Amino acid sequence: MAIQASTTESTLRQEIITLLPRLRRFAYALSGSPEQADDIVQAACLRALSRLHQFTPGTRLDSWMFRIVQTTFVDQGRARARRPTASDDEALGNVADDARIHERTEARAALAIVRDEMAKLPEEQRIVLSLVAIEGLSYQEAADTLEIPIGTVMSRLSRARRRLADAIDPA
Amino acid sequence: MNHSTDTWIVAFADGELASEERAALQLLIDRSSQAREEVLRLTRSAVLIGWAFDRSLRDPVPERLVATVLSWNDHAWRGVGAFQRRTRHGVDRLWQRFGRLRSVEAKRPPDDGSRPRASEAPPRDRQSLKVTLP
Repeated sequence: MAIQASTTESTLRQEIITLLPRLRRFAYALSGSPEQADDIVQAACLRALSRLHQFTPGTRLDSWMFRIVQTTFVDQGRARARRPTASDDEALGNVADDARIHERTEARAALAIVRDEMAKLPEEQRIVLSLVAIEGLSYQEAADTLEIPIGTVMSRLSRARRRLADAIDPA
Repeated sequence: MNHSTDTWIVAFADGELASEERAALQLLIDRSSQAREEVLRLTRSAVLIGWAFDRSLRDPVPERLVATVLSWNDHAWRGVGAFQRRTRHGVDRLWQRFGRLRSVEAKRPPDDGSRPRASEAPPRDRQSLKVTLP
């Protein structure tokens, strides 16, 4: 029994390590700062590891971890001012290498706008937007993760998406 | 477009609608150039939102995070669990002793007056407690 529990714990640790890049991205989207994101993820991992016995096997570990990162951010992040975001140069690695320079410049500006606007969003909208638009959770998964009704997810997401679309690509 | 329509258009752009709802929205979008443009705008912005924080996926994960997960020692948590188990065990034992005392009390023979009860025993003389050294 003890060996089985130990194996499960070891497996969960490995799965959390596999999730770290996504947890960092989620925390970065919430906090607006890569450095602060790492601090949040570290605190969230400690919190998760101390509560591993509360994780229900067979459920989604990523949703559970996103929930812990979110609560850690809410607990810790409010005390800190959002820092300016990092350079876009690395983020623009997604733009094809053969893209023209002006396209990269436009994309860089657009990414900067996205991050600025994300920073201005109300916290609850930013959290929902990060889970759905960045982490790719379905509406239902986001609702389950945040323990809110799916209608609330849709409403918050709609406001956030509309605001960002207006900023990036004014109608 | 009102807020409710916006909500459904966003859900349409995200591919979150069931087939019937999707078909209904598709009709609206086919008829309205404004709705069509809105879906395109939302789709374009969604791509950028997805990219905006991707550096976290490309950057190597800091060693301190991996070390935190791998080396976190759960002795403290186990210690709390052991303490809880010990405490519960201790409480159980106390209840068992209490139960035994009650059963002993119940089995005690009826008082026939041959033995004085503690409350009826004569007060012990303090002088008799003195130890006399040779």
